[in-house]
Amino acid sequence: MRQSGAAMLKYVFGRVVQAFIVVVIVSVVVFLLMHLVPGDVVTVLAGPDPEPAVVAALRAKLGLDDPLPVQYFRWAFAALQGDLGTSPYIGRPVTELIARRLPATLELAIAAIIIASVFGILVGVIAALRQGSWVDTLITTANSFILSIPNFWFGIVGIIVFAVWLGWLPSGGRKLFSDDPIKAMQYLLLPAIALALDSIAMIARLVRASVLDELSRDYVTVARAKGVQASRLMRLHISRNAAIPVLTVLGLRFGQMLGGAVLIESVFNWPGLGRLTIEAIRSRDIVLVQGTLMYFVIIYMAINLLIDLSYGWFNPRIRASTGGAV
Amino acid sequence: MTGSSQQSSLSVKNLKIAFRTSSGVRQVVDGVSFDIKPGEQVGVVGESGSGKSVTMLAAMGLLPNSARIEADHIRMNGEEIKSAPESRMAELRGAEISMVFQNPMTSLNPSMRIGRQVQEPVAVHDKSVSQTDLDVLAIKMLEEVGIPNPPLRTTQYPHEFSGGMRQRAVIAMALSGEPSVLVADEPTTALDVTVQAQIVSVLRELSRKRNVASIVITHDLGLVAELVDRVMVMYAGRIVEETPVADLFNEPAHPYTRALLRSRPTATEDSKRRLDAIPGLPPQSADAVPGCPFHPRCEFAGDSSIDRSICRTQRPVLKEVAPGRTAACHFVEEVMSAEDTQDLKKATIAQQAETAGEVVLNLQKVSKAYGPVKALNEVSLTLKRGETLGIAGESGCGKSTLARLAMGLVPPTSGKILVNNREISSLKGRALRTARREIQMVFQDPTSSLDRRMTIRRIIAEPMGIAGFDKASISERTAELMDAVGLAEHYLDRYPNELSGGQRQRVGIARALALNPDVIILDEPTSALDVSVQAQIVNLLDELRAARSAGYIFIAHDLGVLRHVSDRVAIMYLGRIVEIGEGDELFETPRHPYTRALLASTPAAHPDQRHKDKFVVSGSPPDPANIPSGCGFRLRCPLATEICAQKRPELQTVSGRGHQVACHFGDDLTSLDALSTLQTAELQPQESKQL
Amino acid sequence: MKETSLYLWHHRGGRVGVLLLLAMVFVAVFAPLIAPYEPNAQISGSELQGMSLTHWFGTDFLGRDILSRTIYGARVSLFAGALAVILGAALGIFMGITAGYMGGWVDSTMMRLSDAISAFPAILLGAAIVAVLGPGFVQVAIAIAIAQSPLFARLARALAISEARLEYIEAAESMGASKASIILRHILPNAAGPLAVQASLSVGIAILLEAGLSFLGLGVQPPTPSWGQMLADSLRFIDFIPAYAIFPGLALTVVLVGVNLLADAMRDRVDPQHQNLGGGE
Repeated sequence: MRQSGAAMLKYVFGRVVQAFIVVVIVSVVVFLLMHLVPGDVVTVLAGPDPEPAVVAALRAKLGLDDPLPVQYFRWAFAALQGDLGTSPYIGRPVTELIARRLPATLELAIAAIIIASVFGILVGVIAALRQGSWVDTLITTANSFILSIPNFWFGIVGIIVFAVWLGWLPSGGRKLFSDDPIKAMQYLLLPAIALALDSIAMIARLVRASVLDELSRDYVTVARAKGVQASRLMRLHISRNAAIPVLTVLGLRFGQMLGGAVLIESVFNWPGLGRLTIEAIRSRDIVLVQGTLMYFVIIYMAINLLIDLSYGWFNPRIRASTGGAV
Repeated sequence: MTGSSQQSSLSVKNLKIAFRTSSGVRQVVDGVSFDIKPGEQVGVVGESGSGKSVTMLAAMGLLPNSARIEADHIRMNGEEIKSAPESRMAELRGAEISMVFQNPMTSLNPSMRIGRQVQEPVAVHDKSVSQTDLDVLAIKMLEEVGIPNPPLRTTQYPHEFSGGMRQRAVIAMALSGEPSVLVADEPTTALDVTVQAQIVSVLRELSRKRNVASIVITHDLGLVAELVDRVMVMYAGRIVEETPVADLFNEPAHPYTRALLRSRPTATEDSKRRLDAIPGLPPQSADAVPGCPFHPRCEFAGDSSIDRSICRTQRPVLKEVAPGRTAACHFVEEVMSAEDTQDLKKATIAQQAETAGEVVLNLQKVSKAYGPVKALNEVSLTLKRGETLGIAGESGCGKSTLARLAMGLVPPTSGKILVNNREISSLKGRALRTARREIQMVFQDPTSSLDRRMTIRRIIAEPMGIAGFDKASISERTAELMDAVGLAEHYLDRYPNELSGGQRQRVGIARALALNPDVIILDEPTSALDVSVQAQIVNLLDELRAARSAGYIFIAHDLGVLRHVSDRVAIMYLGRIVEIGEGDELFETPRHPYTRALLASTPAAHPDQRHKDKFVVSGSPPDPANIPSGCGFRLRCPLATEICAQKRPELQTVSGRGHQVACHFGDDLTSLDALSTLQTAELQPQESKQL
Repeated sequence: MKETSLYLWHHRGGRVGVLLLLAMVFVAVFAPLIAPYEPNAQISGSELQGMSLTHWFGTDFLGRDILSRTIYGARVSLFAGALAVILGAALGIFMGITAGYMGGWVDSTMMRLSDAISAFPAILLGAAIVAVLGPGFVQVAIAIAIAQSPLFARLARALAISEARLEYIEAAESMGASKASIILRHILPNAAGPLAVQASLSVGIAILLEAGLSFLGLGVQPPTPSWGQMLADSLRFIDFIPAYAIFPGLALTVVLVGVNLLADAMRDRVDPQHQNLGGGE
């Protein structure tokens, strides 16, 4: 077992190194991309018709006259120490701005991923167990249609129905759970469902496919030949093996929700990180854009890494992929 | 069938199975009846599509819903289960009848500990058994099937088991519920030869000891000869012959059985007779052929001189041909008294060794490592024009690596490869690509070796196009090649999926011949084919070898085929040649313990030879990344002493005819012979010794 | 090709998808003939009207006919989607096949690069690229193409690797075929099916991304009508005139339903499970 422990360590180490390389590439891409954006900070900060001397002083102060590599390493080393710079427009450190918006984004993403996994897994398992029946056909068809509905438009329709016509739910904004849990739930409900919508369909589809895939495997026939009945088969044999692809996609979806909820946030005036980034892009706040993009990528990579490592728990083969069999 | 009053363990009467598919209903089993007595050992023999597995799956209630099953009765220990509900079937499965499947790599749940899987048949049927008792049972079962260190092994996962150990675990699992019937579906097909022999002896001993009735489903007549008392031969969804095993081999009553026996080369047979191939292919469905389903391929069904329209119009029924024997043929007597015509054909294959010409391929101390995996170690050999060199060995022995190195597809880590006295191991780019044309290969898998999006014409023309032939000569040569491999010209515009496996393999051979190469490497060219088709391909290769002046390397794990086709044979183990010599000499006086073990592990050619040679070795080939010191075989070798761990034996010549062996005891034939007569009980598998 | 078209036509969902898409393409191409008004004509005095006989879908805050703008919006949506997928597929397939077949450092470089691209949230990466390139039809398509390329790269690589493992590739190498010709003659044709499925799925994603970028004001600039932008405008007046938000979104959904149905049908066509109905013993 010592040998497989070492193999596991090697695997973890390999994955971490790989993730780190990707983050480095991303940081270079982000940095270069942002330096290609026309019109830099100075032209905005110095106001219209600035004095050349003022511009020069500003450029020197912000270090914009240094060669690009120097600027990159200054930024990257600061970032490594947790300093993503200070937004010249808002005048606050980027980390502080991110920290202020993070709870809203997390709250929305967690609510959405819970909705997506509960409904997605439930519906997918039902479809797989009733394969070929009208229930399966209904679920499969509904999935195709749901996957075609743009979730931000679904959010808008939700506002029209539940806020404008029925008046049951607010049309946007956020309330804190610590202030008023019920109000907070009301504000959270529509955006979370809208954000979860396509994930529900996608998870359901995947669960169905991966349960059916497992059902067709030899070990399932073998288990049935041992006298194992359907419920035990599902519970003890299939669930764990079918969980692997589902877990992967759930993790990736969560990572995307943390960064890609821009549209839902915009529709519902949700004060999250996505909107912060879009506002920063609109106002050409390069420091802030760099910071938030890096933040998203690192979170996404971290989640990816966690998923990969959790395979070891679900799939004993990976725990000792290099250990020989005897 | 026999007049015994004893109740059958499993009795099936007039079973019919059809599958609904997108292209209509396909009848796969048509009127199969049999009785299995308690403790009886029965074999079901047939090629793929004969309905042998489906029959047993139907009896166990394991067929999918798309199957339509009819029967007069299906009884298990007297209980009618034809229309039993799934819940009752689940109660019976694992407790009364259980099954061992073909592929041990996929039949265990990868994320469940072995112990839990082994104890599951008991756990699901008797909820009152405590977990402690279940664990004790699992350990006992692993011990019984010869898995070393059972307490540890029960806590491990399938990936920590080798193929042979997994199949042992699958057998333990099948027997743990103490069933009265055990069905084994091709239980050894996916395993290495030496491991096959171990599994055969486990199955044989346990089924006798526990008095379990066994049904062994197989395409391999050798397995039948080793394991069972009575045989049912299936063809196109019907039983065509049912007989005690010895009679089957001595005096087959059905033309199909007779043809199967005669189309099979065996390792113990000394001469190079031409194989009696069965022409054509088995039908796709049980009702596809009117009359006798075998008549289009049958040598007794008449020709222009004799009119036997009855074979084409009337379906023969099973009738008793001798006490305890039945067969379904209109001309049983004629078949049983037919003369053995083999001797007449013995001389048809020219002996090529004498006419061998100059050296076309020369490997000098060639090694190949993939990271820590030493796939090939200092292998030297020569191949002359007109000669066939057979290479045998189990998985990981390096035979496929050898082929790819010789082809120049991968560069060697060290050593030289000379083709026609020109070193290709140092060539690069265009020069290497041109040189590769002198060596061509016929691959194992006739499906993946042809581009599925190309017509046969384009596939055969491809090498000539690359070599720059003009259009006219390509089409002329293509016609020649089709003729040479025995394919009608109308196949040229078909796609590979429209051809049978054997026909595809013919295309692969035509493509390899297209550029008139000096060396042709055949990598297990028949192992993916059915027995009856395999003989057709071997015969074709015999013809080509006689006609073309290339050198052939024939890689195979089937020693029978290898002995049949080869002038010289090399035995490989862990990336080294351990023995090489002329075929007949090597097979008759093997010097290396591993060669001896391979030969002893090959299933018997006849039930009389059952247990003749007890030289069964333990374990399975070690991981090529982790080769033991000294002699690579020493951990499995019954002769091994200290010197084997200290010094690696080099190849030494032991006879005037170029017989070489790499063993410290290569001269000591007496110890080898002594070991061959040991009892199997003394050769229980042991855990691989640590380095 | 012909067989595939026939298959799609006889596929239940495939036919609906084909018809929906053909209808949408027809609308986009013949927009000037179909639309009752000029999309940018501002009819003063009739701002923010509800549905009526003169303006079936109502009018927007500048008094423009929403039906006409929805019809013209199909142009941006379909053409941006198609262009983005063509560019993205070309880029990704090149990266993937090269990586998969060459292996070694080429492979790791290409794959880390594609990991890097896919580590960004697609819409934010698109937004950032548009910020660099400036707003506009082609720029948006390029931004989306870059964001989509990893999907193609990963699939093409996997296909190339699994194809390269087949023995006929070794056979071709042994005949002296060069790597480039093996890629062109064997690997690409055999990978075409799954890649086409991915492309059809990607058209849907690209159309959605374009709508999203327009919604954020980073897509095609006004006054060119686009559905995303119309949805963004509608939000401001959602309390007065809900119909404004319904129709552009509905049009978008119809296109996506068509694309996804077609993609599903193509997957059924390509999926090997459908080719092996034989089933042995």
